[in-house]
Amino acid sequence: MSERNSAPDFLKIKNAMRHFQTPEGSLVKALDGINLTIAQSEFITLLGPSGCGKTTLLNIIAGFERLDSGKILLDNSPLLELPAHKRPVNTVFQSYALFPHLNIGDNVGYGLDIHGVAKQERNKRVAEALEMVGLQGVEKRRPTQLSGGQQQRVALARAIVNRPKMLLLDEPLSALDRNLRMKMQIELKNLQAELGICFLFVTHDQEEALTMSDRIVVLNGGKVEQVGTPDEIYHRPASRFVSEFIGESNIFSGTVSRCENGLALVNADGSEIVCQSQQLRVGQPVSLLLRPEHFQLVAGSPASGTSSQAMIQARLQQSVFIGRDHQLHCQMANGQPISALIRSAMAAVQPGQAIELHYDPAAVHVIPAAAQQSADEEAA
Amino acid sequence: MTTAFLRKLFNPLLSGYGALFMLFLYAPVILVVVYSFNSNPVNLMIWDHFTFDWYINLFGGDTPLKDDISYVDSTDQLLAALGTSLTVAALATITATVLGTSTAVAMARYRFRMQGFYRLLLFVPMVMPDIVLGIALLIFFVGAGIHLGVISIVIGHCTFLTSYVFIVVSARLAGMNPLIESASADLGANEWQTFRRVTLPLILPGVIGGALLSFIISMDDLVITYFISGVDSTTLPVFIMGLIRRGIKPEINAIATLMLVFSIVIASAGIYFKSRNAD
Ligand SMILES: Nc1ncnc2c1ncn2[C@@H]1O[C@H](COP(=O)(O)OP(=O)(O)OP(=O)(O)O)[C@@H](O)[C@H]1O
Ligand SMILES: [Mg+2]
Repeated sequence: MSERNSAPDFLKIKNAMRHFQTPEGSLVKALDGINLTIAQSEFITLLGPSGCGKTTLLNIIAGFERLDSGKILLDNSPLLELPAHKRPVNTVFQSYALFPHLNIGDNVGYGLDIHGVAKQERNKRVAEALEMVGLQGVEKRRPTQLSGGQQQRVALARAIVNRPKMLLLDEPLSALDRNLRMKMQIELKNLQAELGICFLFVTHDQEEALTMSDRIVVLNGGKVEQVGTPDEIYHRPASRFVSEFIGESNIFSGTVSRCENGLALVNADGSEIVCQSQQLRVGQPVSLLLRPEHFQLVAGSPASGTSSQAMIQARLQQSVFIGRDHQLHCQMANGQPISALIRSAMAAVQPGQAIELHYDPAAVHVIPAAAQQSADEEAA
Repeated sequence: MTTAFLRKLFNPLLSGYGALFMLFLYAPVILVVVYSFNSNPVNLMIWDHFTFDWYINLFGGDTPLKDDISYVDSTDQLLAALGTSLTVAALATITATVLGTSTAVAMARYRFRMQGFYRLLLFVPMVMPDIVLGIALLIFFVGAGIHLGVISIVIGHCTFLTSYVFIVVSARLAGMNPLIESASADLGANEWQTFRRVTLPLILPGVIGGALLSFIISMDDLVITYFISGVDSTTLPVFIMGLIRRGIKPEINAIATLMLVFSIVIASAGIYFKSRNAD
């Protein structure tokens, strides 16, 4: 196990560029300078909105698509020189792409047959792979005689039976219903731990990414926005795009008006937000992130106490019961909407009522404004 | 209520029209089949009584018919023409199927310069008048010094049969998910292995259909073959054409019926293969 983990730079992507000429004559930057390093037994997810280049990147690693410029090293050897059929990676396609003219056993055994694995060994490995994905005794059936979820498992078995160094999965769960999807998420994660190989998983479902991944790569417009653990991505998003794309967010933009005792006061369009930060300077423009679950509700009259500064006054517009919690849709004095997640037991407030949403200044995340900061530094 | 009434009125009319149309299509063919069993040796449209004599005569059997009322003085000639036709059809079908299939795969899977133009060129032989193609081929063979015989007919037939195979196979390829071929490559198969194990089995119904179509068309072709067949390489249609020059005799009905049966067998085989692979 430890040996497997010993290759932190198993797959290295350096400055990968891929532009497409559209029929209308414009240029689509599907990949616009991607740099990425992936460890040998990592479950890594490519997450991003539709058209951000996820499939393109996967196709390039699999060998179905070429790169305009850049380099990819797999296990320290250049990958791009190899044709698709010589690459030690296997793909699970979104549409499964099972061979319709072959039965399940021959579908799963296809890679082994190509490589001339002896019949006995081949049958043993096919049975093992089908068992791993929880599908025994269907070898004789045709793909059309299986349900979508079962076909998905066959596609998985067909890929892992070849013992690839890396498995590429392009939105493999998107065609499944919610219950089956959640079950498969756990199974995929377990399978990855069992096999100990790298899974490069593509999804545009942020919940799926947060549940399954060791690390998430957030892509936007062919660029890497952030790479990090689900916790980092959720709580410390590196950009406004990431914070808005992942989870629900309340973002406050304004300028720093005061700094003391490691606390900074930010004036965001009339309301004041307190955050814990050593780096901020007075006058600096910033964006602050507060997740809905970071609020606590205090109804009615202005509260007293030390933390009275760390609160936002708002008016409740709508309260929606969503199980254990209530989701509160509120509006601040300046018109900005705020969303808060409050324990249902605490949420005895009426629409139209003035409320106070309290928070811990330590929970406020300062979104780095990369472009802005560097511009400021240049000016200074 | 009115629609129900109208339907009641029109349904029998519509069925009647359909029946008439079918009759129009098939009556001549049915007549040929029926009169091939007519024993009247003088006027082939006046029914005398039932007989197999024309068929027996065709195959050189002894019949009470007098020699001068039949064309086929030697069954050997007829069989030789049939043999030439079958040889030509077999060779042309094999060649055209290989060429047409590989062209269709290339057109569907690769992008290259002037692709649209080449695609257009593949349609041209099908719409070109047979006479033009026949004359062109004749001039070409004579100019190039190619002996007019089985080989020249095979080459001539391939020029247009390839187009038919190309179109039938292309239709099949268009209905195929190209990701399936990517999956094959992903699992380690090189291009040839992918073609052998994935592409070919999936387009096989189209390939077989195209081959059968080619076979029938090749067996049937008269005009082009007429120009490019030599003296010693007469095909069945050209041979029959020669017979008819000597006047229409009842035997022709028997020959036509046999050719009809042959075509129906080939077409049925095509439909059988198509349905068997359509899961
Ligand atoms: N062959 C191509 N020709 C032209 N443009 C292409 C081609 N393939 C992809 N693109 C463009 O490149 C961009 C990235 O496409 P890609 O398929 O990688 O997106 P994606 O992130 O997988 O999206 P989705 O989540 O919808 O699958 C898109 O804008 C797409 O239109
Ligand atoms: Mg995609």
